[in-house]
Amino acid sequence: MAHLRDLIGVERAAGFRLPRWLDRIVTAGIVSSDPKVVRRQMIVNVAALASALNSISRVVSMSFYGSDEFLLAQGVSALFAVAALLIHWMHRFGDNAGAIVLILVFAASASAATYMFGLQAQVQVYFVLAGLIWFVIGLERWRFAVGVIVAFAAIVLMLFEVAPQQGSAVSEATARWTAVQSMVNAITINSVMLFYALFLLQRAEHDLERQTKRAEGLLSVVLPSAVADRLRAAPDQPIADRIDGATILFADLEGFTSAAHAEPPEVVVAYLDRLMRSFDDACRECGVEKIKSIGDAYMAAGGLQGDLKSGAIAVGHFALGMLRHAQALPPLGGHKLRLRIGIHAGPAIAGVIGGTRISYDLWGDAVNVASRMESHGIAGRIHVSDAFRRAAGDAFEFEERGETEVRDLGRVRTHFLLRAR
Amino acid sequence: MTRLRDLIHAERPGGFPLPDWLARIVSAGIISTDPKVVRRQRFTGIVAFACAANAASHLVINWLYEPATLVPVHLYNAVFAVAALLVTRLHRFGETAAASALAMLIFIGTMFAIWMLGRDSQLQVYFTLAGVMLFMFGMENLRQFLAWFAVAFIALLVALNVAPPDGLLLPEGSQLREVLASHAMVNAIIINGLVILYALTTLHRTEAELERQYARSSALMQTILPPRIADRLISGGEQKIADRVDNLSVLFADLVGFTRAAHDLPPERVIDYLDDFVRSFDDLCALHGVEKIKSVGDCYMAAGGLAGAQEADAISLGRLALAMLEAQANRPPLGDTRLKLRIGIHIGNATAGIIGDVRFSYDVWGDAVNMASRMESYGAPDRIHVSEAYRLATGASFVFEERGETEIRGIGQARTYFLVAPRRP
Repeated sequence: MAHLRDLIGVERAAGFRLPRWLDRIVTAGIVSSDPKVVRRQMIVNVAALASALNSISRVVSMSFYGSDEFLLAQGVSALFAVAALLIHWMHRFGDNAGAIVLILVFAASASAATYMFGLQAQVQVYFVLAGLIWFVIGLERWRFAVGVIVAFAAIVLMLFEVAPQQGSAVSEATARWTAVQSMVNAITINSVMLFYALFLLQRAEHDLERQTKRAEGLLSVVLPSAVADRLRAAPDQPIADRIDGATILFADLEGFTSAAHAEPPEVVVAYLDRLMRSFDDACRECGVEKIKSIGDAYMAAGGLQGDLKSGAIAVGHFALGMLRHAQALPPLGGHKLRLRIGIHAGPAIAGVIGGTRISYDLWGDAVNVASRMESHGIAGRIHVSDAFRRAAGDAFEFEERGETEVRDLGRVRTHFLLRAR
Repeated sequence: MTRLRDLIHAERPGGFPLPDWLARIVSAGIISTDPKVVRRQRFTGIVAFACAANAASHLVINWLYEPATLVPVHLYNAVFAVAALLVTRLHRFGETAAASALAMLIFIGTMFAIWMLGRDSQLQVYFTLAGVMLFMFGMENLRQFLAWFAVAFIALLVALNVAPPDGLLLPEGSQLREVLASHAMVNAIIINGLVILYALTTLHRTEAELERQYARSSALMQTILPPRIADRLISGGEQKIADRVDNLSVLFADLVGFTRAAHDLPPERVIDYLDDFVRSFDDLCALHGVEKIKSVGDCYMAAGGLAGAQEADAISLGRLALAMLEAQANRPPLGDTRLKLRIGIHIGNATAGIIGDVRFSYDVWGDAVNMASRMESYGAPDRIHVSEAYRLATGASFVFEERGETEIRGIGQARTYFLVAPRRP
């Protein structure tokens, strides 16, 4: 059973808590407030940083050769490192600005490195990471992303034509080592990003389940499940039914207002809350539909599916259960409170009306007469109409009340429901 | 105003919009009903299809290049393609049966190809896509994935260092190897792009659905509780709501003769009328800054002063009553009968709060409510029947007509009035 706490508001799953310095790096330059854009731009920042570190490591490793001919290569790599570190500055110019610059810097840097190190050093394998573009470009821009992927494939083909097998910047041994390094980096980066995607998917699915349950729970507060099912099957059909044999029950807590008068609000609400919850539970157990509570009055109905007899019997049992719950209630403010119940069976119209409060409600004779039964009833007793007695039949024992003057109805014959037979 | 059908909505997101023929291939052999398992197995199907397409492309390019000498390789590619597609038959044997088989097939097949054709063919680039297996196994089977990932990783290193550079089958075919290298690279780029696109699209659709359900919950909350109460619970973090309000003004408005008029009419017409009735009053409540509590049958209940401004709201409630009478006068008849409104207003003490757990609601109890209800039931059609207390609270703003003393059930004798019109200053 959903609880009020769960229905009120489920907190969004919190993301990772990064250490301050890392958080600042990852969110550098991001001005957007759209969480999806922010996520993409954070990935761009991380990729830019990785790219910069890669270029820097190349500069450093090349300096071990101490040879002047690598100066150009080192300079180019250093330039790419600087460009990568400045990418975060581009976010302010647009959602995808940083991503576009990243793609350009990446393509240029990888191409240059392939040329400098030679094809044997496998630096071109980084172009496989073209697929990761979906992480930095929004899915709406898919044409652009596909274009980039195609462009990367074309660049690779071109590099295979144009770049030397062995680069001028490195020795054979270094080329072999770099090949291993490039491959390992590529497989690692690709896998880490896929892991991240799956992690996000898991989290979204988990949240989705929770939110769906919450929405369904809230829906069942507003509409009986049978009505919700009907609307699901045919969303545009208004709910407006004529029910010939609906059994309606009204129950009023006599003396509640004066008893509650001097009590603090928490006590009053807690008292009523407890009583109403027990009634709600009893409704469920007896197969009766709670319609609404109005102040300290409770309205329920049975036979809404058209089954007059079984609906009437269910409501009868429910009424007896209500009396039992009310008997067990502690006094409020020193007063022992008693329930006054009225039941009638008759024709009613049921439907859903909307506006500020969407609700399922009933109208008609059955409702009015049931209300009169309650207001002309006696505390601690279940006052029923003749029609209800005829509908419920042998399931209960009744006591005749005789004829009573009921406002708007005149003299009518009524009964008290005593116990189940 | 929320539309009912938006609240009912319960469709789940579909998968990635694959063309029919592809969807059928990808879903082949899946018997599970657990949606998470189905997702993983569909993904395995996609990877299997990608592998088969990949092998087919290699078969075609190699055939064009060297139809005769490469017969073992053509055979291998053909067998690989068929085997990859057949892997989906294994779904019935277990959640990860097909995924494991496919991983094994890729590993053995790729190593075979590398040894036959030489590491200079760069076919080991396919191992960089190993992370794709994660979606085939899922987080639930992480250990299996890590095992296969380790296999791929080690295979990559082995191929790079140990595999014969020129291969066993065609050691002089260096041009073939160059073709293979660029072919494999391009294929790897395409496969990676497509697979990641599928993964992120699934993520996108799930997150969009999450937003929809969240919006649905919010709309439902709005319909159950007044916004300021919902706020107190959600943002304010209050666990319960139980307020005492002195000088709460409460209004009841009842449609006189409704039941009789509705008696023989089709239910849709009756519901239509009521819907219009309730909605127009909801709008009036919003207009006058007064809070609608609920409608019960053909009875409408509103209150003023729940948020503090008791004096001003009492006056607003009176204005609302006058506006309601006017609105009702302008409403078309129900059937043949033009229905009249009977209004009752009182100002007094009340308690307001949320009761219930599974079926919860915000309600008001107390003297203010009971007396207002009596005012309504002892009122008169087309008239606003108010208590002495209410007249005292708002006397300066309205013109009242004395009704005299009335015997009210449960209360006794009470002096009451009719609110007639706003008082011109």
